[in-house]
Amino acid sequence: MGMSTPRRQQTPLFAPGTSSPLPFPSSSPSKNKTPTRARRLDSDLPASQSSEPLAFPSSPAPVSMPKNRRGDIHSSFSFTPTSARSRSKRQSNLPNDDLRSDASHLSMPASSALNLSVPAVPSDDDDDTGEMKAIWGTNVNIQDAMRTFREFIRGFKVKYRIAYDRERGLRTRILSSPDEGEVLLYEAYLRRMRQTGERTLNLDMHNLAAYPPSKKLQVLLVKYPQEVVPLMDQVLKDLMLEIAEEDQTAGVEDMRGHQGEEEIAEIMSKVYKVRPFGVSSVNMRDLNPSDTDKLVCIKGLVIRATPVIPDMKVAFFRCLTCNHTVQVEIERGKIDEPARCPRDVCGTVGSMSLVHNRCEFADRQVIRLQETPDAVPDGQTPHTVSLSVYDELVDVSKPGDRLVVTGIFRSMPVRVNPRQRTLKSLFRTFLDVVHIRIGTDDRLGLDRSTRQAGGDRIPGVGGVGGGIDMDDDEENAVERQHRTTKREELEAKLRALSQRQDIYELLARSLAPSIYAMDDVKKGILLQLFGGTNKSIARGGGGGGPRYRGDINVLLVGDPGVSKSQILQYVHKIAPRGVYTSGKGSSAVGLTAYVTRDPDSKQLVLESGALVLSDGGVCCIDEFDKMSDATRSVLHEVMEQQTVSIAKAGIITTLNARTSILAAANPIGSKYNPKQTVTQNIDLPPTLISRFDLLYLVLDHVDEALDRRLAQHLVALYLEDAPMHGSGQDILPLDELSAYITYARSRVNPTITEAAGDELVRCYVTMRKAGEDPRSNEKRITATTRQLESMIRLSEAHARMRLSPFVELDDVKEAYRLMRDAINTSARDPTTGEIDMGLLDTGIGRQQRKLRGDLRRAVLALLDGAGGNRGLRWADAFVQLENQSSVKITSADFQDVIRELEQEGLVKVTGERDRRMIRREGA
Amino acid sequence: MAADYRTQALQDPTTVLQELYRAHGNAENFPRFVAEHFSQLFETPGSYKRIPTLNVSSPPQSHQDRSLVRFRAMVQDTSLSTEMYLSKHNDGSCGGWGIYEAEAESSSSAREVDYTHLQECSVLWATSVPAESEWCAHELDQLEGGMCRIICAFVYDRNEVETFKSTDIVTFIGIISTEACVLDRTQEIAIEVPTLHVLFTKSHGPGLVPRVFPRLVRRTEENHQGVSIGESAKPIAQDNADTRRELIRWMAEEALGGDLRAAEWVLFSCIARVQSRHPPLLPPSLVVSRFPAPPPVPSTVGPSATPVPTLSAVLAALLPLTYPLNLSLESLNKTRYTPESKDEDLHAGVLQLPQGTVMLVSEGGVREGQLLEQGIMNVRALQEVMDAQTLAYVFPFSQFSFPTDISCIIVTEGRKSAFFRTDFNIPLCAPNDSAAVAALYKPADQIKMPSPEKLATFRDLVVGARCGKVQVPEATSEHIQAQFVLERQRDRNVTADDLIRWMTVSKLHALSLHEPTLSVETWQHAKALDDQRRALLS
Repeated sequence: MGMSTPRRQQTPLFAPGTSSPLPFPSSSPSKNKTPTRARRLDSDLPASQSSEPLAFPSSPAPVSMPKNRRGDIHSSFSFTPTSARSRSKRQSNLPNDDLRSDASHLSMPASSALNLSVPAVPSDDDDDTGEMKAIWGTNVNIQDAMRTFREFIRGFKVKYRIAYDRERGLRTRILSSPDEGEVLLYEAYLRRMRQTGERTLNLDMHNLAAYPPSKKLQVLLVKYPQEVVPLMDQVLKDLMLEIAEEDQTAGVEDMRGHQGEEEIAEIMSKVYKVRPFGVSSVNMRDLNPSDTDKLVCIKGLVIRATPVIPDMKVAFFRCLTCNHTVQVEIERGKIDEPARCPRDVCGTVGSMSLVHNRCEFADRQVIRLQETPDAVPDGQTPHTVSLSVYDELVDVSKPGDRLVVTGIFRSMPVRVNPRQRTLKSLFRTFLDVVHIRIGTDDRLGLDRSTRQAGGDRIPGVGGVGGGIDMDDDEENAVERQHRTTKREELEAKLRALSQRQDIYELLARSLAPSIYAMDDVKKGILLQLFGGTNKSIARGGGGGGPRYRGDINVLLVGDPGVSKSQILQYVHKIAPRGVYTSGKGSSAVGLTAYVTRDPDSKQLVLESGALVLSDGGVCCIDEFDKMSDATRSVLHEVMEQQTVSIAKAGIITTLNARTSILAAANPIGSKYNPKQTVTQNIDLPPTLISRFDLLYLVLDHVDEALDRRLAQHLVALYLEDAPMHGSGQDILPLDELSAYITYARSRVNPTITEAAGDELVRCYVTMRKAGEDPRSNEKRITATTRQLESMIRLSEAHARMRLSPFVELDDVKEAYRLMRDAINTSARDPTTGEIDMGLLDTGIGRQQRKLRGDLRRAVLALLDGAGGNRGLRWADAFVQLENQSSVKITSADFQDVIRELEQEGLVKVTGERDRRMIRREGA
Repeated sequence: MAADYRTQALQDPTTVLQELYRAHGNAENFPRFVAEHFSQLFETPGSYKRIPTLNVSSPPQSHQDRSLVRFRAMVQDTSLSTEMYLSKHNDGSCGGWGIYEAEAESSSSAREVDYTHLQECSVLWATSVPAESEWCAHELDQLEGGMCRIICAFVYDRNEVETFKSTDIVTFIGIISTEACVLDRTQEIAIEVPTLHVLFTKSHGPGLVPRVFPRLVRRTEENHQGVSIGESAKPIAQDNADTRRELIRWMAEEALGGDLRAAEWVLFSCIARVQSRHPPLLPPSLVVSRFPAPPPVPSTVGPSATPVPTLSAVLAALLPLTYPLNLSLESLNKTRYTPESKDEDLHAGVLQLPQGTVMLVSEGGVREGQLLEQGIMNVRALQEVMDAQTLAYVFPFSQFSFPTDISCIIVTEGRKSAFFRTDFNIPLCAPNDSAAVAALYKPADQIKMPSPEKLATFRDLVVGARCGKVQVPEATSEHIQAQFVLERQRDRNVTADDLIRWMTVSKLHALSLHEPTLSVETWQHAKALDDQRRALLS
């Protein structure tokens, strides 16, 4: 135990023995019944409430009226919905109400724990006239609060929220008709609750603020949740009944006659709860004593959760001598066992025994919530807070979930060492949770499409915002309200950014700005970060048919020292749920999931490794080639099926690992051998290589101009106070880039237009033809349907990057260009049968291209000069050109130019190797 | 009067605190006030030195309960939640700092808590500074330092707490006591741990012991403290170069079998530190290869006691923070290098070392055998420290990367390190006979220490260089660029990495000479040094 809440000792209402926190005026019907008893009992038996001496609690009640015990609120506040009182009270205020059912309330079983005593501890503040306006110690006026909430539920319309949002400068939903704004939102919710049997109403506190008469109530709710929430619960139940009765009177379907009576009886027997949310969240570090007993909202990551703990709420004691029964409520986490029978006649000492099956228990669970990495200040280790969740919120969240939690902050003195003389009153702080929301973290938000629909339902009716049914998160108000105005600005900024013509280049440039050049690689990785859309075929056999991955996998292969690792590290930082791992050090365990025994529960649990952890994100694997075969075989499954199967310790299970993989590998012998194919260069099975959508060769070249710029760049970076810093181009900061990607991933799901579809087909066919090469019998990568799928994904990602809802022609063209370039750099060149290093050069450096142009002209001039048909020998031509030129001509350059000309049909090359002749064609 | 008061504060800080509260209890931020009051009280070095220290030779038990102590410590874990305390008791007296109300047994449950008086204090785990060398502890404490001791610190002045980061070195001055600490928040078991209720703190600069850069010449008659402008005949640059040469010779002769070149590289490693993270200007890792394995030890000593290279003692004599790490399969497989949070308690890891530590990793103790998962993880962690100067603390469902500043020197028998990729590799050229090998592993007391003055000058050179900065004039920058382009045209294999390496070496070279600007000559010299090193390798 011990997770209970301290009572406010100075508050007489909460003093031992008083179950009711609401001291109602003396007009309270039951007051006359008990005052003397209550006083007497309180004086000798604190914290115990006596039942009527002879009436057994089992005495049948005409209508069983469950007590409204809420774990979250209850600890300091056992509120019993004695609707009799409140209703009679209300009767005076609102005489026009139909209170037909009151009689049943009044005939409450007398033995139940509700005693409607006046405050037991005499209080100076107690007004003798009985006109108690406010709850002691607060400025909560009971009648006012209840009336206001009543009015709110009966009067709140969607339009209020829209006006409110507009006032705050938020983007609002456009209503299809003015009528939509007139919908009585909460009445509709209440009806829905009746129909579905739901007992929880999630209350968006922004709506309270939006409805002018209830503005004050929202403030009160934040300040005095444990006083106000029970009032709300009470009003909710009253209104449930009221609306049911109204509907019955009006003869609404399902509510006629007997059916209606049944419904009302059922409502009567239920406990209704209001679960408020929508307070702006604070960092858990900022929770301080001034927040005690207030409603707060924090975000974090669940690191562990206890099993369900039966939490005794009311202990039931029976005197062994006279069978007198006493119920004792939990107080400060303890039950005080009555030392003797409270009945005067009996008074036996030590005769009270606990009757277990008559005690009342509630479900409780303690959750430890840890700060998420983004909330932790630099260099600090994350803090953790305890959450106590009760009843239907138990087991809603699991370790690993990110939560937005609304709750009441408690600090409770604990006596750490009862044996010691001095009580070292340390204080334990925790949150009594009233409302949970799973997974809204803008930066680290997981890809929604990877979670199955309805998987993470929070109990309760009542969506958020102004809509009737806006549980889907796409555009809803909770997202909006968690975002402050700053967020709003950011969003607008991102939208504006997406309109820029050079957005693609800008984003690519911003990705790892410290790495020089490598534009296409960056573009490919950028698209990987955006990802394609996940598709599943809704129809079809079992579980909705196959699912097509939208994740793009990228492999970088290249010489050491070309900053592959840096790129990976960078991506890991900005990617949603990015995980970085090195193939060399990671055993299969590190990369996948394994079974361990939980030290607490001694149960076998699955602990997931990098791939499962990055479910819905990007997994960066460095030194991919150094990975053990066992681990690599796991990747086969991950990359195509997107699952990880585990068979260990008798548990066989399949975990989702819907992750994009960004891998980097070094060639065999550390330096890339241009004379060999990619597959010969990398020690990876072609089956695995082919699972990568994009494969980039990142090779090191010698080029004076490039080298000079590189040196300049590096010297500027590595030696302090040198003049140069960066390239002077504008670059998106890391967090903005990250925000942009997350925004696009979560909001944009582009669909393919017809034109784009046609283009895809055309490109695929072209690529397939290019792949045809009758001469080669080696294992090689050709265009297969995999490439088509890749192209679709890349086009989708490109459209997403533009925040466009449609995949258009240009998206496909860029996707095709990227694919083709990646294939050109990685796949062998069909004309020469060698990896053509020259192809890599295109697009690198203007210098190179200019040089090519000159060379080309020179070659043509040379051939023209050499006199038509005979042509020139390859080597001769090369030497002649070399002599003419002021700069060094590499053979690769020469070869490229010749091949280009050959492709254009301007020259023809005959012969093999040294005997090659170049001849001018056409002209 | 002031002296008396100070004595009282030393002997009975609780009473002083309570009196202070009576007088100034309504101060807006009382904890802040307390911190200022006490730090003023002990402002003078003389009075500060009178505060007893808490360290291994005087553990918490040796101090009287609730007496004033100072504790120079490394912040180990800041993940503990804040504690609430009653800042004012019902009788109006001071609360906090471990002062609780004396309470009669009878009224156990009916205590009233005034929630408006609840205040927060931060709790963190601190340990005595690992890797701290003796002379450094002596200089700061006038006392011997020692091994780790963990303590729980309650910090009441919350403004400061935010600045404390894991592995920071801070001196906590406060009241020693014990508190119950609930390690597992989902359970109720509390254990008593030694606790320091902090009155005020003193933070230490990056170097721990401050030295000047560029160095000023010590006058011979002056002792440790006094440093003044040199009036000696020699120009300071010349003196620096001479001192540097002497230092290298001493290091080479005592610990490296007379290999001056290796000693120079070790010196570079000693003065390397993290200069910037974006872009990464990190200390390069160095492996001294061909370093003979330790001579076989008599079997009576037991297999685990492999001798430590004498180099570690030499480093300890020069550097304030140095940590010898003897690798063996057993230690790799069993100990934990990265801190890991288990059941919400952050277990310390070997690599959780204060910023500015120079670590000597010796692979001499490694034998054949299997490296288990823990070992692999440890190797990875150390490699990450070398490559990126970050150390991942493992938390459930998340990892937090913390910046480290640990410069690594590895000694290995092989041609390269068995476990690690390093930036530099310098093969040791030393005689290989058994006497010479034994000399490499001779115990610390057999080292021929230079005169105290000389040693102090050495320390000035090394520690000063650690906090120095080197500017690069335009001319040198141009020269470097031109040379790179030239080199690359000459040799295709020269890559950007080479350029980065040359630049790193040249900066370290300039630092070791206490030159605040990088001259073309130093660059040339450094590059030549690197070329020599590479020639030795092939």
